[in-house]
Amino acid sequence: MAEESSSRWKSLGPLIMEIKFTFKRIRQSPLSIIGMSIIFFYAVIAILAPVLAPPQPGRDPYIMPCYGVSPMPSPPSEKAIWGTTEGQYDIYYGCIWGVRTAFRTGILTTIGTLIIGIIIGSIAGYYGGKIDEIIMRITDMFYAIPTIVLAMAIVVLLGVGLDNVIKAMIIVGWPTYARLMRAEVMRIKNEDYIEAARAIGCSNLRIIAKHVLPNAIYPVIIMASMNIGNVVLAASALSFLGLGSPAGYADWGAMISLSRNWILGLPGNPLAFWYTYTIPGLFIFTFVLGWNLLGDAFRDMLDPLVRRR
Amino acid sequence: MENDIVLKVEDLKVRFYTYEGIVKAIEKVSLFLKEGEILGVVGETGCGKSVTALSVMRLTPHPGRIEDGKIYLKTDDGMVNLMEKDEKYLEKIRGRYISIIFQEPGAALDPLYKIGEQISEALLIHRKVKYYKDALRIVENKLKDEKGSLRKYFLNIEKKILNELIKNPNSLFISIILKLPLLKRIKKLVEEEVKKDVMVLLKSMGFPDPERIINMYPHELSGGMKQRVVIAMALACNPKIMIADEPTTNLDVTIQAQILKLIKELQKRLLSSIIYITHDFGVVAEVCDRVAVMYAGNICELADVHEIFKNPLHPYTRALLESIPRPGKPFKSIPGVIPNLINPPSGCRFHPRCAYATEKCRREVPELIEVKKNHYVACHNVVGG
Repeated sequence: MAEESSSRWKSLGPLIMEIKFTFKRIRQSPLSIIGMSIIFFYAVIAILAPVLAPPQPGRDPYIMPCYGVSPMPSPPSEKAIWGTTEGQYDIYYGCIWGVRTAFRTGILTTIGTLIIGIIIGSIAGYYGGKIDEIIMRITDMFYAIPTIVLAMAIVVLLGVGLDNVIKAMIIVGWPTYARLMRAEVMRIKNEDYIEAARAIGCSNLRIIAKHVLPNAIYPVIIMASMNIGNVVLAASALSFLGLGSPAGYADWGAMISLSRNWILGLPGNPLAFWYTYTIPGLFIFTFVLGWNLLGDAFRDMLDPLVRRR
Repeated sequence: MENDIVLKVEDLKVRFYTYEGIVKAIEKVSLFLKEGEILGVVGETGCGKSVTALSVMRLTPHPGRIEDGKIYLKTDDGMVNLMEKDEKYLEKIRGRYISIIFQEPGAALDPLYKIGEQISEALLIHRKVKYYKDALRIVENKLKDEKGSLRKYFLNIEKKILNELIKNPNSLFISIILKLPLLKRIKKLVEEEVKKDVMVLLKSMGFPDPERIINMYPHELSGGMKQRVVIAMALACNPKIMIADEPTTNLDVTIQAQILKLIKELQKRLLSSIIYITHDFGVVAEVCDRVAVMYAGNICELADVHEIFKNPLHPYTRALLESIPRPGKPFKSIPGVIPNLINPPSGCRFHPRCAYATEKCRREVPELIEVKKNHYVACHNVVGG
């Protein structure tokens, strides 16, 4: 029976076999399925945002529509199904388009930090010596200052805005990846197969590109996928502090910032404006959770030592 | 210089600059390797066998450095001193004229690549152009039979690119172009050609089903299979010299016998010379033609395998042979321990453990001299004789 199924697999060709095996591995871990479905769900929302919450023609779709001038939030109604927040901005619209903002900040920041971290980390790890010493002391300097404070300072220096928040987080974030990458490269470069590759005549560049990087990169990628959530969280925190997107921009952190004055509710009714902070908060929470769970799924998918057991 | 010598090492000196001090790992090692012979290098752990092997390929591990010496290797352009060559040249030498297999077969294979990919890499590094030419021939044959004008047009483009590759095999521009969807076929074509050779190679290593093996990852193979794959990689480009650094130490005895048989067979068929590093005299007797005995970074005796076993002249060789356990005989070990190579003993490095040591041994370093035909010994008081 087992033989029969394995021969059927073989006839499919190695690539399809690999993909099938990957999905089999992921199916075995319910948490990664949950993580993947959350992110998949958010991806669908991001793609369908113009359908789910059609923007008014002629306006920047990332600016939430506002229904009036009163600062007081209004509860869910026909017009704004999840209510409005301070300044009468539509919460439903903001949450839906906020998915796009979250994906953009998370992915851009992570890719930026990854590229810088991987390049600098592998240079430090592979060549060692003085280069390593200099690079590592620079990363130590970044570690000495709390990241969020440093990021705030950089945003203030560059000017308030979402793009500058992304830049600031890239500047602050790369040392973590560089350190991890360096440690991995240092471990890998002493492996016998690197020596063996050199013995069959591989050049330094080829060894780094074909043998060192692919072997060292998994922990970094897994860390990155887990970190996308944290990046979104940090960006939200900066937006909450008023350093991120301009007023009315569809951004979860900024929306919570708008609800800041209403968190205590009315006298005698502390939960009067619950919708202003709970709904964007839930979006942030599930988004971050999804990425963290997906990080585990990535590990199962990518690490050949874990996967073929 | 004799004609049949393929490798000649003269006065090799290697130092390791460590935190505790300078480790004098190799002190004036000289040896030569004739065409088609298996030279055994024997000695205790830490006596510099592996360092010698790696240094011959100019792969001395960090923080080691070759201080002095000459390494002559026979290549197509005659004898070449590897010490005078730069890294670019050495990359062309490694794998093509001289290759090495390591002690731990599992660790010598990159866990991320399938067996087929790893062996093709070894082939492609040195023989790219040959495979491009093969692919070109196939494209030209197809072009002859092809009637459709569109197909003909594409085949002509493929032909052009392959011609360009043959002229300029390391062009970055073309290697990027080859990643494009329609032009990927060229890469496929080349890979198919390499695969044919990989299959032949694996078949000659005694794998009955190479088709299955090339799609497996290293951790799916057993130790003996891995070692055979490693040997296949080392022999991919038919090097003249193979260094085997204790290739059977971590395998069990039946597999060990298989690998030894394979190595002997390959050596006869491919006419390459082998430096076989081991600490097992049984293996030496089994495979080697000549033996070099090393102690603390020096060669103390170099002779034919029969001569070594029948008539060992150096006290250390004697002691080593006596310490092989035999049933019915009392087991003799060599008194003392291996010297610390940061502060090696003066004079002959073996004198603190030697039963025949004299005052001269403490003062003077013995030279390796030919006491009989083809029997070299480095000792002031040659025993027996």
